[in-house]
Amino acid sequence: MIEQAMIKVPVALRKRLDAAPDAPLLIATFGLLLLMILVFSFTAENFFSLSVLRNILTQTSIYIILGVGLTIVLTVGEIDISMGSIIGLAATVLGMTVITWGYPIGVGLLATFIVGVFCGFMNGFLTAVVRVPSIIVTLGTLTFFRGLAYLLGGSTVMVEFPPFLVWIGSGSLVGIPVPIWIAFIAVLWGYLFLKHTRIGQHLTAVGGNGEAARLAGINTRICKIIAFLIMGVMSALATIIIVARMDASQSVMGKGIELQVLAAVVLGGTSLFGGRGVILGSLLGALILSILQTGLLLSGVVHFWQLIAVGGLLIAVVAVRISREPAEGKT
Amino acid sequence: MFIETTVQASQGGAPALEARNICKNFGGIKALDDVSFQLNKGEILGIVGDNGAGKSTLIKSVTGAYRKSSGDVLLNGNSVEIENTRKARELGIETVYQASGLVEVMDAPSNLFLGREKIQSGWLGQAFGFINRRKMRSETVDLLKTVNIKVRNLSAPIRNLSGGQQQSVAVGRAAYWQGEIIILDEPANNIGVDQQRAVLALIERIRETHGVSFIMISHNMDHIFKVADRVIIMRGGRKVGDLRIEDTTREEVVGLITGASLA
Amino acid sequence: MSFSSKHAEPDQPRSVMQKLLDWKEAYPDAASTTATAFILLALLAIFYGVNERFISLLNISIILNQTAAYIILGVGMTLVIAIKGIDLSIGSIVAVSGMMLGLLLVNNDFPVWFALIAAVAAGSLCGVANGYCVANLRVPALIVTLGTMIVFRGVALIVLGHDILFRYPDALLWIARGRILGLAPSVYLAALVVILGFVMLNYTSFGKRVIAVGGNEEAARLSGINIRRVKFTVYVLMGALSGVAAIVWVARLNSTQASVATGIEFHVIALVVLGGTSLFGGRGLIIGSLLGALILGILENGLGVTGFSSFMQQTVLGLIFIGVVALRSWQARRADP
Ligand SMILES: Nc1ncnc2c1ncn2[C@@H]1O[C@H](COP(=O)(O)OP(=O)(O)OP(=O)(O)O)[C@@H](O)[C@H]1O
Ligand SMILES: [Mg+2]
Repeated sequence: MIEQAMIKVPVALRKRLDAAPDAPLLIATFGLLLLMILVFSFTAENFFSLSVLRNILTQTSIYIILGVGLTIVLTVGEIDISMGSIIGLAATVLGMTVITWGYPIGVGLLATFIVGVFCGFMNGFLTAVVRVPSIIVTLGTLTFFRGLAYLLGGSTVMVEFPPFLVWIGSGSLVGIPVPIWIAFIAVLWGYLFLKHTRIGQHLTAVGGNGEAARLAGINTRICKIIAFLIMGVMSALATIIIVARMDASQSVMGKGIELQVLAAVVLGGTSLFGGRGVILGSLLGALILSILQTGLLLSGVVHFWQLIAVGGLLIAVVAVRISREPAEGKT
Repeated sequence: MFIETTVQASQGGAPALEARNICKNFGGIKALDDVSFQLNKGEILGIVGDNGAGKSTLIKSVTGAYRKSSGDVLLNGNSVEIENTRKARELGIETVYQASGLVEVMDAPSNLFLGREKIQSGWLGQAFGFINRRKMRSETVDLLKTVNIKVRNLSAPIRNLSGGQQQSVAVGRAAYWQGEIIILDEPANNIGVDQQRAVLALIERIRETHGVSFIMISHNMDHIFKVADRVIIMRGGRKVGDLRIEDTTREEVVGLITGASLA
Repeated sequence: MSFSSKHAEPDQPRSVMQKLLDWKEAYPDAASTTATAFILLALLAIFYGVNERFISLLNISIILNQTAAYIILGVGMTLVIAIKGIDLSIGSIVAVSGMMLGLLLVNNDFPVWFALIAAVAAGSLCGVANGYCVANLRVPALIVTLGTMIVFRGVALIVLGHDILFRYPDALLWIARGRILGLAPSVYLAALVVILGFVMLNYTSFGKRVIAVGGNEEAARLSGINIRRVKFTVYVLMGALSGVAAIVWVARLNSTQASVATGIEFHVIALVVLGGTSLFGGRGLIIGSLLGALILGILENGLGVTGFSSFMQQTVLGLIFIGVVALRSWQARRADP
């Protein structure tokens, strides 16, 4: 009897795991996160305090939100490295509408989203319709959007935003900071969208095998444009949080952020070749990077060594993953 | 879906599918040169020809996977404009393309329902397009049984299946959605003897029970002569023969394929 | 192809257009490169129209000198992209090699020749790290070089901190500031790299293998090519060339710091793409990349001379880049619908 029960449990568990093919990956990534927290709780003072955790989470919310967008773009088999510049442009527009021209904050937020949608659409259109590889498109728009931001805003810093925006940055709801709420909603939405909706299914198919998706009657162009639009909207969302947290906006904002986001998403197990997007993995990836950086900082490691740790971890994790999944390495 | 068809089939004399003067150019290359053919109701039509003869291009041009350079397609005697594969499916044409047309990184249910996912019945499905995975899974299980494939883990990406099993899933997909016309580009290519037999039996069974019309491209004369009623022969982008199976022999067909005899 | 092409009647006189199209088909590389050359000429004409001083011997020698490092890196990146790879770490490798020069020549009094060798060796070593991870560990190049981009920069920062090293010996500065027949030695160095790269890619068996690996890795493997070795070698070459570029760079600026050359990887990828090399691998246009580098150099210089603000310059650069690439892919699509 007891023996039977013991056999039954693993079988039941295996069935469950079979039904969730991302589970082993997520468990491994989560293990890495726990390991890191464990190590730093010894080496870093006060690492376990609630305020540190709160800080880390709030800080990471930006990367998590952008990570959701990039995961979706990678799932459809494309890449977006222009998000930092979208943030710069959106921040500039937000600052100008609200501070320079004095419009109410609602108009400012609307303008921010319009910028995000515009930039996302431009990337999507050039990739899907003009059919330029997305790495080249977004390499170009990386320069172009940043140039626009500089043209509009120069290098002036715009400060003193209305209280509502400041509340988004530093207020809290039920004891939890607003940015964390926003990131939570973004992740939840991203997960449901990608795994459980029809469009999410189509995006995955397009990234997995574009020709098969096309032959199955899926409009691959629209799928790609949708992915870039989502990236644009997520960039706008991130912009609002960045500006709100600093209570300032400037055209250089978001510079270089794409690398950190890309690293987080890749750590989370999303494939660079399309067809596999792991939103929860990106969440874990972003947390791992933040905890690594904060932990090293609190352990008194100089900034430069943190850089080396981040780069090394990224390569090591992916190398281990590939060595364990030979089939994946082939594609 | 097909109940109506059978009613119509007994009424009208028009062919289920008719292609008139199809041409297709790739840049300067004439891949199809004025090809016409008919598919009668309830018929299994074989298409044979050497590699590069234009067989796949022909069915791709007819089903909207390629934009044809010129020519017309008629369904049940009515002229139709099939601008993409979605339109073809809506008109009741199911196609298994040569490179199987499956997304290797997705699981079998996702592939079976690719582009036509089952939506949840409640508001979640209506408003947000939430898909009903459970329903998709259970129907996949039934389908895989009928095409005689065993899959240990339904949630695993289908690239874990053998090439032949993948091909069977692709054929099974067309069988599941069976419209009025099913087009198969080398359905029995690349699969084992047992599964070949299962696929051919499936074709005949569907035809008998539902009166579906088939087009089957194949290099295998045994298959053609076993199930087809009629065969058309392609060579160099042109149709060089159109023969009833009863009236011809393998030698004649092979001769036409290679160009040894004149039609 | 198994069918007869009916339109090939030999007696019919062919139009110039037809001949041009045939030539384009027979020499696709030459055709793309010619297209790039036209863009370059058009730019020159525009800037000349705006400001006649633009095409003076002096300004041209300045542009060439400024572009030398880009040209050298462009040759390496062309090889990397030809094997369907990418290298984001070149800016950081330049920093590491530059750091080497600074340590040996400014902080110590090593002979210049020794420092030059050490700089190239340091770059090659970085290339070895990239090559090992890409070729042997099979980690995607984008991830490897994203990681090493951070790591190498970290190394330079640890060693140099925020120091700026300057006052290099004259022998080093001569590379960018000396003149041979009116041009800086760095320009000749870049020319040498271009010639070697061109010959290697187009006329050696290694070049053939590079194209084979980039074009169809599986087929290349089945035909007995050692894919790992080819990939490894290409990344090491990229590292070595980054070291060479660092020498030119430091000689021109007469200074080194850890943050040098941040972000140049994007410029270099952009110029290779402008030159017509496809990101899908299997094709490498060294001369195209040379022209791409010149286009970039002329744009940067020209927009400055004609009085665009640096803000405007960036916008225009991005716009031109997108425009040219979009035009290219539109053309490619028209030829093959
Ligand atoms: N997308 C395309 N672009 C250019 N040429 C093509 C394309 N598809 C097919 N062709 C050409 O059209 C001709 C016919 O090809 P097709 O695929 O129809 O042959 P097939 O009869 O199906 O051969 P097989 O038995 O090998 O499947 C070939 O010469 C091929 O090179
Ligand atoms: Mg075919």
